Amino acid sequence: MLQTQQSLQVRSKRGLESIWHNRNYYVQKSIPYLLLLPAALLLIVFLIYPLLMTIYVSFWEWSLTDVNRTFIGLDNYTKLARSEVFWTSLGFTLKFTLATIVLAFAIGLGSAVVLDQVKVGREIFTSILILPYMVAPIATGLVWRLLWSHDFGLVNYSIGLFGAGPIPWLARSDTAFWAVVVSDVWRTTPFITLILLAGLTSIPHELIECARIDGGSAWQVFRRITLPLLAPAITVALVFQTIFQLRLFDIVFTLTGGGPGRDTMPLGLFIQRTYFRYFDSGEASAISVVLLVLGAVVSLIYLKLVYREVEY
Amino acid sequence: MRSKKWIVFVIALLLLSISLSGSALAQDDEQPLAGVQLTVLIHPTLYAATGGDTGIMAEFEEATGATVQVVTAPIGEHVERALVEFIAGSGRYDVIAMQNVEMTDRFFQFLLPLDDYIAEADAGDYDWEDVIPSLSAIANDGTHQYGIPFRWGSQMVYYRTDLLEEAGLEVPETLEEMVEVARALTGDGVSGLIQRGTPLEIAHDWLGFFYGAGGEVLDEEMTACLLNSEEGIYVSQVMRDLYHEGVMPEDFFAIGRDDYITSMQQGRSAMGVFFSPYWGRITDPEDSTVADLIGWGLPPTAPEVPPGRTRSGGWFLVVSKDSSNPEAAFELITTITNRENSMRTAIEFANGPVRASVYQSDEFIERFPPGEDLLISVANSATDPPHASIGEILDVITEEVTAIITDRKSAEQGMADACARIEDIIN
Repeated sequence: MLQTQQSLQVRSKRGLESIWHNRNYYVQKSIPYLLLLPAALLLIVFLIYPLLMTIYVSFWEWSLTDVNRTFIGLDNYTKLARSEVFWTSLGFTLKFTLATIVLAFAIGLGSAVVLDQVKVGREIFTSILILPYMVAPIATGLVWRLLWSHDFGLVNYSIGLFGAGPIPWLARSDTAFWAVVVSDVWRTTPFITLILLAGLTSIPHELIECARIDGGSAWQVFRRITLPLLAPAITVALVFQTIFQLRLFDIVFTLTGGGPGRDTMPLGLFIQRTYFRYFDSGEASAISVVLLVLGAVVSLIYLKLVYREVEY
Repeated sequence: MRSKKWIVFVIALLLLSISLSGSALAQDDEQPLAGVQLTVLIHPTLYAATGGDTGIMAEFEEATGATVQVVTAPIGEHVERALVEFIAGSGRYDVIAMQNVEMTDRFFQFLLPLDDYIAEADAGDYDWEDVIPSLSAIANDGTHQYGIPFRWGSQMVYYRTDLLEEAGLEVPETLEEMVEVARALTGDGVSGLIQRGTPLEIAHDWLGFFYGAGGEVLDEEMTACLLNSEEGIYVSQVMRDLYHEGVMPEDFFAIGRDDYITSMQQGRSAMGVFFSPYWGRITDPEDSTVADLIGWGLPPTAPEVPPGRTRSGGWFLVVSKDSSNPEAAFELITTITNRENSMRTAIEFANGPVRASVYQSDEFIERFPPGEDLLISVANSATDPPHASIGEILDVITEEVTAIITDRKSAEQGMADACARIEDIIN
């Protein structure tokens, strides 16, 4: 009897321990999720909900100032497909993204490689180099507007020293395109430089030295060793830069206002115009969704083509 | 002895508190809005036209005890801010400055009807009748008055008197004469005619000439586009020709408001049709190198069109229907737009007047010589159609006129395309 009681006590103790153990197990298991909860809530409120809402609104005839809304399915998208303005704007956005990424990447990579070689005062040079990125895009646009000015801009003054006549940079479609590109490259290149410099710094120098000892030329070492090992940093730089460039708005807003006509109007400006000047939330949301899909597709392509796991 | 002192102390305390409360009451009488906070959303140029930080709003604060917080924003951002607050129903802005093109049902739903307030103010010395009726009608939906006109302007042709005299030419009165004069004055680094060419601004200036030629954007029912008319094609062709002939500056498509004012101030342009309130800036001796050499005239029109017909426009002060201090907000508006301050804003701060008495006063005409001509122009001018899609219509005009001037389309084709697009929008 006593034995049975003891056995029961032992069992219940073990049961309690097991429950306690299980409870402890579940508490421990849930801690990471609890810690993630605030960030997840913020993401849901500020990212997921607006994203889903934008997709939802894009299927509606939804005026910003009218309470009556109508479900219209894909009409906003078909309207876009028929809109000449949309295609011009999309064309400009893609051309601009391509041009700025090629230029900023080339200059950024070059600067990163040079900075990587600098042994003394690298921090100072890096800080100086990053200055343009600290300038607000609106301010960049305003400053460059003065620089590109036909009558008293520094650019025309400079080319005038070589006997070239003043060029109406912001007043012609072709020159306005390049004016916007150069102004933006000036601002965004430091971002690429910084990421690539971080990537270069993380490459073990032993590898480079071994390759050199084995007789590799500087170009061969760069192409066969440095560049492949830099792939993750390049992917990050390209993905972010592409997404930033696709969302272009501020610089163009102050520099050309999208002109001449609509020749330098990126999708970002088209969204703003559709939303705040035409009060058409539905169509503005549809353009935003197109932009989102475009960004996602391009990023996936980068990840597929450029990204590869690197093991040292 | 002690109790005596005590009684004296209590009496003194009583007297002190009575005198303090009396002065507070007096202050309440003098400052009836003490403790009230008003927020005003206004364009920076308009704020400057009220005298800025030391002007009428500061005086209002001093006189009433209210605190006025001023938020300034450029045109595009200005509408965005107002709209977001309207939709949220926040009442963040009590008084908002809005353009005439925004005085439509789309916005009226967010605004406080002002009829009762106007009637009450008019019982005093506000003199609502003095406000030019055609202007106040713009902010009236037929039932209620939603806005008080604050700034109005039309276009005037400004020109260099010395260059015109040298060339032996008269001030152009018709569009054809303007083209000839502009051609004749071009040369020596001086453009014969300067207009704005940036997005939207190009549409505004094109419309000025188009109305001057006798054109209308939409029919009366606002269901048909009338740009594809003789007037539309003629004006587009004229602008195209003047640009290609080098009469208008090479960087025409990058010229905005400030660029064209600067160009006139620096003597780089001989003539231009500009918004009338810019007269003060163009002839400001501190900024202009040719301040004494600027003349003015009615904007050129087609011969059969009433003199001075062009595009006019302006600003209204409105009260948000969600304002928590509508009476104080309206009092601020009446303070800014009463007879005395209307005269002050016109004379001291180069504001475009909205009261007939200002236009007719000797003081105003002496300070602003084009005043009499301006009144004629204001009376004969056209405003953009009050259609809910006016923003989109103006963008279509921007794009098609740009296409014509850059030779991507003929004037006929551009205007036909503009009408096809506009009718697609409005119907």
